[in-house]
Amino acid sequence: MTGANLLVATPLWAAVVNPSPSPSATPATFGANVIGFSFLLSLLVWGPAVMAVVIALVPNPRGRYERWFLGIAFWTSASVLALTLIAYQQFQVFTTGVQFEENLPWLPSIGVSYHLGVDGIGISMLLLSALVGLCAVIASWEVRERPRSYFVLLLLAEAAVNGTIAARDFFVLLLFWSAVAVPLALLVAGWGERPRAAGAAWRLLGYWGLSSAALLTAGLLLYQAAGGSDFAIDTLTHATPTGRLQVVIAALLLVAGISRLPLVPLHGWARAVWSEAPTGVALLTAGVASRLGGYLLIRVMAAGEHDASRTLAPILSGLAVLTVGYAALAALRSRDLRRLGAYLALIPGAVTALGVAGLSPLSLEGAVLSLFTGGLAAALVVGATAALAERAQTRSLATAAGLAGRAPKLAWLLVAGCLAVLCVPFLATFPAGLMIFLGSFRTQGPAALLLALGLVADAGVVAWMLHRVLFGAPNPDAPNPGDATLPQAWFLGILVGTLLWVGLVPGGPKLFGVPLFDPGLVNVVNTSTPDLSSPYAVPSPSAPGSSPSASPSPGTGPGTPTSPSAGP
Amino acid sequence: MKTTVLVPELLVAGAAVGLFVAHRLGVVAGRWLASGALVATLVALGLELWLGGQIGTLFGGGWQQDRFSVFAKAAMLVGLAALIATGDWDSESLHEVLPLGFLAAFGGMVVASATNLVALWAGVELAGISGVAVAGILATGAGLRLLRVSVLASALITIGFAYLYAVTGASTLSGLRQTLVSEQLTLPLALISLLTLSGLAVRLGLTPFAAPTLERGISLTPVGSGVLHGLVAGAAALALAKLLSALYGTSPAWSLWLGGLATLAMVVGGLRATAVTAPRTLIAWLTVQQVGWVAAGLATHDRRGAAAALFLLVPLVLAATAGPLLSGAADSEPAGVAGLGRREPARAVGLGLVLLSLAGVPPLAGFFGEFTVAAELLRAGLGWVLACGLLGWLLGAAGVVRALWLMYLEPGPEEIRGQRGSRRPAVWAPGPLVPAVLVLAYGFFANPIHDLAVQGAAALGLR
Repeated sequence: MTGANLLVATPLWAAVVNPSPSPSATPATFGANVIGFSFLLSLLVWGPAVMAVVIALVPNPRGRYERWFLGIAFWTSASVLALTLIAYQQFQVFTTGVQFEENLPWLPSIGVSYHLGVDGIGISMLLLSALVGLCAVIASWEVRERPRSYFVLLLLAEAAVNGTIAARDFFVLLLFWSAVAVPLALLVAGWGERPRAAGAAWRLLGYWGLSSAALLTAGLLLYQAAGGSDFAIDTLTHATPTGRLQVVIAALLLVAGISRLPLVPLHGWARAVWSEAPTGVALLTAGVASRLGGYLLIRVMAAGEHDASRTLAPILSGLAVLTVGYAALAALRSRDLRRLGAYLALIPGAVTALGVAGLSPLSLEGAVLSLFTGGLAAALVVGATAALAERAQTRSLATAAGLAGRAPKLAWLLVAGCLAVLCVPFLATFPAGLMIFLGSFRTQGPAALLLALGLVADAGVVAWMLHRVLFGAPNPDAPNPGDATLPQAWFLGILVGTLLWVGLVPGGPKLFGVPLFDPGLVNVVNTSTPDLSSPYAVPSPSAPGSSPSASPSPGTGPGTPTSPSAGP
Repeated sequence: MKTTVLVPELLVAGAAVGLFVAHRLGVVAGRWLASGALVATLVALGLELWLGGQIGTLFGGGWQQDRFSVFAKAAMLVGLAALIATGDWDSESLHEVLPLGFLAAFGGMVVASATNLVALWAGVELAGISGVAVAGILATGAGLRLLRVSVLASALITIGFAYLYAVTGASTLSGLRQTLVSEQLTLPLALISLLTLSGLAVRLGLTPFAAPTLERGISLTPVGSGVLHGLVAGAAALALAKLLSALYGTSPAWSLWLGGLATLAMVVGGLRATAVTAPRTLIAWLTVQQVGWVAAGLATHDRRGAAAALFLLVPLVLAATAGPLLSGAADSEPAGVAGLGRREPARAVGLGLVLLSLAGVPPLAGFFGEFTVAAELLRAGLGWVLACGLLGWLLGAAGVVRALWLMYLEPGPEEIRGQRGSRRPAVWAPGPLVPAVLVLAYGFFANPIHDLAVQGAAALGLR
């Protein structure tokens, strides 16, 4: 190699222009027939980060242009949502495999690549991230204290979440997984409600730092087991570590996932963060950043460590049951409105965990769907309680009472959020919950039953809370509450609208059987769940006279094209 | 091989002399001196990357150019450039220390091209003496104390080198390696190896040998700390890498020992990072922690581990050199950086990113290096070192977040004194952004840099 060659580094921008060809059967070009460029995912990941830098550098003499920061953040999030919606609409539901793939060598000597791509699970998570990200910015409309720093950190967090979802290389996954924690912790510490904000931030860092360390260790062990040549997630999930090692890896992944999700006993950060953080940050954390825990459990643990997943499934389902029970008891004892919302927001994570623990095709599909729907529900309940506490000028349940008459919009939005976390029909959480319970009863029957009972208990708590806070007699000594402001109505309305949309047409709207603009979330996630769940498919009973081979049931084998279904 | 390959060394040595003379005579204004020094450094760096592609020897085999020397010299020059760019060009102390900084970098370059024990010793001692002189110029007492430690380190290294020559009869590093591979490992040989490495560990700042230099370094001015903890430590790390490759045959003696020291450095550095509040001290302990990761990579005593250690060395030298300058005066208390994000945004960004890189937080340069070291540790069966490293990593990150909190979320001293609401214009200086950009950009250019590090490790002769 000559000296001239040494100076010729391989800038990332040059490699973006000349990406490696996508290995999927139908090359994923974003905007096919309109625009063809294959760096959509990089745009979704780095776009918010670049705009964060722009916000950091925009001159602001005497604080005259502070609303510009909000504007830049808003339009950035809106653009990300628009791009994601287009990608979602163009996502090909009749094929399996990764789409919108980008693959560039990064540290080839140790097998690290800048590898991005999405399948059905990924695109639904990206859509969730874009939606919740926009809602988080809208929820931050009234932030007046240090807005520059606030929106820089918010966009950086959004970028890191998108990077985690789109990552197909373990190094990239770990990089973004770990990078989410710092901006969120600073947001909680800097803009949360004093004096508990500091403690909440430290808890977030502690638990999420633990999850990062566990994930790093698990990934390195998988790397070794896979031959130490490649960090691609597909390679790592196809590694075959020995029995005990596989259990250790799966346990580490479990710790990493449930710390983020969260589940009891690694839930200590959630109540503090979701009740003390500013509304936008609580939304982002509850709605999508915590979903990454479930995403990890599905993407790596269930997809790769089949035997260990079966071994640990009872533990996971037990933790899910404990979480739902804890949520009910803690919510019942709570005297703080925002904390009550934080406890209720734990429920969707537990339902997702049950779906993963079920390890059946139906429960896994439900778990994937619940990543999206549960995130919306958790964000809605956290956001609604925060908005209500702010407009009622009190967080105390002893003070706030009978608010429905004076804050009807907020009241009904809170009701919708509470119903969503309980998996009530017509809301998006219902089909996901139904699939999870139906799929888990055979494999994790006691846990499924107990969790269902836990949901009933939570329903009782919700009813008590709604009666007390919304529909009971107003408290004459309480401050005069106001209804939702326009930004509050918007971000909560977006969340409710999405929950209703997916709940009513989970398979996408159709006109005389012809799919319209929405391919249907169930169809989208269905593209990747067959590959995911095929190792767990229960062999169909053999007919008399035929060979008793354990063949997967129709429609669940790998690479089986799926037909658009109308959902449950 | 053409002698033009020596131009970068000549440029650095000439710049050291020229800066010294110009400063003493006072014929050139300070800012011009600093800008000239920066230009000279950047030209040397460019020439090194351009001309350094040649492989060969000069002076009858006494001087060698290979991929390791290219990488090593580039690392030293990047650190030197960061020192100059980040420093206050109007500060008298910078102009006093700059010639010594160049000498320290020159010492590192001598180490990089050394083929025998004498050259290796000369390079290490040149860098070490530069560090002592920096301390002496700025604070005589600190300089004397550091001199005593430095003399001890020099004695250990000198005696060790002499013994190795006496036992093996080889003064060249390649000869040493060949002889020791076939030589039976004896207790005296093992002890001498450890003593020699201990001397280098003092220079490197590896716990528990870090205590003397750490304390002295913190008490110096920022630029002095940068030279001592960045450039001198960098030269020592390069010498360690070269010596360990030569001592490959005695690896059973030192690999476990080095792994233990690395573990201690990573854990102690992380623990102390969570306990301290003054930014200069925080930087010093985070540097200790990251030095531990470099040592851990070298403890694997194979090519891939050495490549990972080299890959981490560049972020370490960069951050350890620029960090003290970004944090400010030696006696800065926590309140000194409180509200820094509003008073001096550029410096706050630079300091924040440098701290995060030292702590190994993604997606910065330090994370890339530590990740590659972590992968090699597991491959080499040093899981216990990795476990301790992860603990130190978590602790270090926690310490850094507290510093960021102070910078961005706490009111500054003038705000505490009741002037809240009065807006002084923020000070924007470009210099602090240089290390910030470098630690951010390192990840984007990780491919060619890591490739060069792998080639550098191969050039050391490790298997």
